[in-house]
Amino acid sequence: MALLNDRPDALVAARLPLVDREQAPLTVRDLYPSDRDASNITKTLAGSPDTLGALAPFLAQVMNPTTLDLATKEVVVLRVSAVNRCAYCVPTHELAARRAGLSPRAVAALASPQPPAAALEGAHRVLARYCDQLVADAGSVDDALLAELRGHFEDHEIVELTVLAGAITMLNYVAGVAAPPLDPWTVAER
Amino acid sequence: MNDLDGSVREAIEGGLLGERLWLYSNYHCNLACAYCLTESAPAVPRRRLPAEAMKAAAVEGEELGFGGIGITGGEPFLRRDLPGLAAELSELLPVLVLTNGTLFAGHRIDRLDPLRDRDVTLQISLDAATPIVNDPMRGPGNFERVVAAIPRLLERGIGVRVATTIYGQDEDELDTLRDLVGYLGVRPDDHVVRPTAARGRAVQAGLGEQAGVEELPAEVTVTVDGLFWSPFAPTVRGGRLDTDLLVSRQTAPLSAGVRKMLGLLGRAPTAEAARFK
Repeated sequence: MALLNDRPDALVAARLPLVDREQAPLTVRDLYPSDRDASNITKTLAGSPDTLGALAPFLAQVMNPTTLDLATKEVVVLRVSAVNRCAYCVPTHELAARRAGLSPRAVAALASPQPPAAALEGAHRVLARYCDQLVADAGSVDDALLAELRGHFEDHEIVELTVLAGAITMLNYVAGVAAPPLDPWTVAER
Repeated sequence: MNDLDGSVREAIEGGLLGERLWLYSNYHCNLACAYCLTESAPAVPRRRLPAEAMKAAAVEGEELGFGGIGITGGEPFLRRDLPGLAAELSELLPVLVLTNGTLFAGHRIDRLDPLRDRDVTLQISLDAATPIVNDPMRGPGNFERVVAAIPRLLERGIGVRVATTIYGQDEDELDTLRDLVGYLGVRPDDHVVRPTAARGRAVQAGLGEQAGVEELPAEVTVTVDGLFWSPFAPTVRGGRLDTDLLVSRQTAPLSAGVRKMLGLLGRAPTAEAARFK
């Protein structure tokens, strides 16, 4: 399975406009960090400030650690992005997943188009399979896999992980259409 | 009562929000002024705000507590439906239409008959008392057409204000212009003098003063592209719309965008403090 488009580097032009800081609409100006540039996905979404203004707190909620730690969240983010073949999100979240504590081997497996089972253990292994089936089958997950997932996660956590998978799919779609270049810090760290 | 429950009226009375609801009718123009905020010209995309959207905004604006309607562009009177539309909106609120005043020569002024004795005022741009100073910025023949139009409009019972944009005229020139405006029948209170905003084409011409959220009074402005902070906000540079003063892409219902505007008001100076009007 190939990525939808070649991995964009920082010099490739986006297909939809990137809204720079000086053009940031009033209601989302605060979402541009003061100490560094905003991400290119933020700049893409800023073209529709009402959407970005509503999404930002929602995404912060679903991506932040709760009873689920950051590493578990990054398993979902990276695996869903890989299955959706997101050329912007996969490299971006390879770095985020490493920062969250996932091993280089696990990150490489999650970022691969192939099912990553062998490189993962325990809850993360089941969760990756869950993401694969969830995205590939448009939300359909068989009873056996759900039962297996329940062996590792509480029901409320499964709700949270599933909402996260949907939110990331949405961002994958935006990035797929807009094709934002990789952020400079992602290019630098890779 | 709308769901903003008097907040707009309070903001207007408190001087935080301009009382006029602005509607950008279109972006094209028969002129191509050197300092134009919107890079308007005959061949630019028209980006018309549909008449039904203008009416709906005006109806809701009146309910929310706005005290007037402003129509600007582009040149609004390039729209054939504009005189009738302005007359219809004036049944809700007083209407001010910003125009270059050059489309009313000869029998063409008859198109404005729906505005006779209505609460509609035309704000016409005139920058100097001579064509030598006025026309280089606004185009050949502009001075002559405007000076001819103003008395004819007044004779027909159509209100006129004059707006002067400053780009280097000295006080003597402005005094002479004030005399001319009075001679044409316009009261001193109906002559607005304001600086050039450093936005749009003025930036390329090296003209104007900084005009961002700190300088511009808050005035709800609806365009086909969304709801903006001020009528000086939905500017165009290099063919691209500026979004730095965009508040919301949602303009219907008007209250949705206005609510976001109200949320920003504490960051801005009061209307009295601002020089752009």
